[in-house]
Amino acid sequence: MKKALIIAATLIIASSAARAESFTPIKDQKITAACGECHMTFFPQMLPQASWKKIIGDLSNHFGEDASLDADTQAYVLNYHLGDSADVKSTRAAKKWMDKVDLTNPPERIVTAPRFVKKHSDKEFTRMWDRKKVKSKADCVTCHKDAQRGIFEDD
Amino acid sequence: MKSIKMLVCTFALAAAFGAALASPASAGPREDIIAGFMAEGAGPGNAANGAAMYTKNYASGKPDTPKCTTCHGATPQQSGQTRTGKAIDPMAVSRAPARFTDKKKVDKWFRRNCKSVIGRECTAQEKVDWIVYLSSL
Repeated sequence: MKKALIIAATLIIASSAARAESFTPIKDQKITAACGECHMTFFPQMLPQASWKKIIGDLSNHFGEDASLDADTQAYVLNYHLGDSADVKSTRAAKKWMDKVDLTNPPERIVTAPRFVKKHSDKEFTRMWDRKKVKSKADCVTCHKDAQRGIFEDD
Repeated sequence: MKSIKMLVCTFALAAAFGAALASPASAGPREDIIAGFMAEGAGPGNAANGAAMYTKNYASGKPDTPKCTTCHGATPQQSGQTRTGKAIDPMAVSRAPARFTDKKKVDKWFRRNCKSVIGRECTAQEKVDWIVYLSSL
């Protein structure tokens, strides 16, 4: 019986670890300064190049706010994202985030990317959003405590 | 000749204002920033006008950000929160002494936030009123 419990526990731990998703943490100071003052620095591998071009190409209308940067900084931020996008990287996370992405109609935001929708579609998540008073779906760290370090656990 | 006169006049104004504001302490980066806006045509700061700006429901910019307190604290002494949930330090200089000491940062955020909230860039006068108000608390 005890043995069975240990096996069960091991299985649970192993399966939850397998569900965790990881990205390389963003340490670039220019990115944390340009993007991180308003929101978590999201990982480029969550979206394809076409999405980042759209998003970073028009920062004067950035999800309802003027988030304009000077031209040099904007170019730097865009290049940083293009070099690490979901469709140019071959990491496990990048592949998962490209799954079911329609490149003729690329996602306009992370929260509409197929991967995000798939992982947050349960009623359970909706309830959790309400309960934890999540300010916005872009506020990853309220639920995923290690999100900024690139680790997304299912919790 | 006229332009030199104007220049002298501007410097005199800025100096007089700086002295009045910071007296007896010497001018610092915040006073320099204010003097810069005065050189762009602003008169001395009016704290009451700055206070009115802080709470005014402009609703003339982007719909998601009708007023400053959409993101900044209900009072300048309180912390605020971005729309994505990140904490924003209080705007009152007494609570966040680094406020308005970095010209680049000041310009960046006036540009963005005035456009988001009011729908246009702020005038030099509005910028001075804002800084003087938040420095007075």
